Amino acid sequence: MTSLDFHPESPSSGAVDDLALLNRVSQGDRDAFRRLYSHYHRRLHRFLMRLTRERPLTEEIINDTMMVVWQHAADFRGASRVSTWILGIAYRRALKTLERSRNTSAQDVIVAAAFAPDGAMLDALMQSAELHDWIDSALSKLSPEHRMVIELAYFLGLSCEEISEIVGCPLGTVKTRMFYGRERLRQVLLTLAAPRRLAESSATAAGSPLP
Amino acid sequence: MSPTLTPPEARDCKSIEDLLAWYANGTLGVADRAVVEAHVEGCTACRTTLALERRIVENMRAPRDNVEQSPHAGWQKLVARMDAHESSKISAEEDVTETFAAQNAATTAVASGGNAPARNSRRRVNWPAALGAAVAVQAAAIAVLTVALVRHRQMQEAPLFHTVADADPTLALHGRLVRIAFDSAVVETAAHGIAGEAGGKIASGPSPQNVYTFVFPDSVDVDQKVSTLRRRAHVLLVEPVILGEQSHTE
Repeated sequence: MTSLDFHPESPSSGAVDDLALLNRVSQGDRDAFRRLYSHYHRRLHRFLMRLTRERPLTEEIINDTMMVVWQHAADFRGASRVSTWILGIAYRRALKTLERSRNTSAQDVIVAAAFAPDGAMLDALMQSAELHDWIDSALSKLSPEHRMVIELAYFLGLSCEEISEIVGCPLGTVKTRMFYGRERLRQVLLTLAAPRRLAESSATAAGSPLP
Repeated sequence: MSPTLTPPEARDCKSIEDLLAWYANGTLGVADRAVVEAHVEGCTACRTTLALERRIVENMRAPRDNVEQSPHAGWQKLVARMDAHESSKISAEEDVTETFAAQNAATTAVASGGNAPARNSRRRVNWPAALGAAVAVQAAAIAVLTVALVRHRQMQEAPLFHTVADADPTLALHGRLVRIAFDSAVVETAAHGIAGEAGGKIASGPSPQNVYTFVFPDSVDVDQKVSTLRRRAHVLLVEPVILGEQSHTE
């Protein structure tokens, strides 16, 4: 794996090369910009596809982001890593997109409150083969702010400090959004899993011998 | 060795709960990691929560599909966009330049009497040189206008002198001529009366200085007429017009 490959858990890789490339980009070097684009395209594509589910829209946000990088490379002062700066630009673009298609389903969350997250339910949830789909569905029901923090932390593997820089808010705000985002995510997951569990319970009760 | 059966305090679970997400994504510091690991070893609830967090992380990072999007197509679109942006910037700069050049050309055309050729070519202009040329042209135009204005005023204010040598149309008249200057009290009607009393008539006048030319028949003694006129009130000057021999003969 080269330094240009995507590392979800080590976003700092290639940071030195990024800075050298960005310096050349600030002087209008298109070849350097093409290399920077190739470097970040895969990471941004995977991240943004999770949010938009649409390839054309994802490509549009990537190019919007990289156009800002091309035009404002000279404004980068090195206060953060290049990856953090670029992800911050992509974050703001993606947030606008998510806010346009905001789809909160409060009803699901209210229903979820009826189910206490006991250990047995969580165990059943984890064992479910449908967990993959339920997570996608549950994430889509979160607010853009809560969802973005979870995506940045879980998908891109960024630390609380890095997310604070990207989102542009204090550490405490990131922790709070993470806490409530996870809480809501868990509630929605339980709501989605509840009918199956109820069905399994009914089947078990129907099959049990009468006292 | 069996794990402790004493459940951790609720306060401890709350503080651990805040760390679990960062533990699951691998960004927690060493000290905090040790605290979490020590806690979950003895806390079933937090251990279950951590397991769920890990499953969520694994699921989110799992590849969606095997289709890897190539950056090539996106790059080509971005290059086209960059080119369009550059073109629009250059076009905007040229519009400003052309506006200035058109103004400059108009100034030049006026200064040269409209003989300057009109130019409409799209070319880059050296701004300092163009500004210098415009200032120079305007300064030259101002200088020419100033000189013309001064000469015009001088011509208006200059007195008009006639001498005998001047091309005076009265000199072509037949008869004896006398120039007579009156003061301001004598108006043209009075001058006609004076000329008639003397046996002549006005050939020309009055001039701005109230000077007339009287004409008398050839048979009149001009010296006597001059002497008589000099004695009249309001007469400043009376002189006979002496023509050359050639004029007399014609």
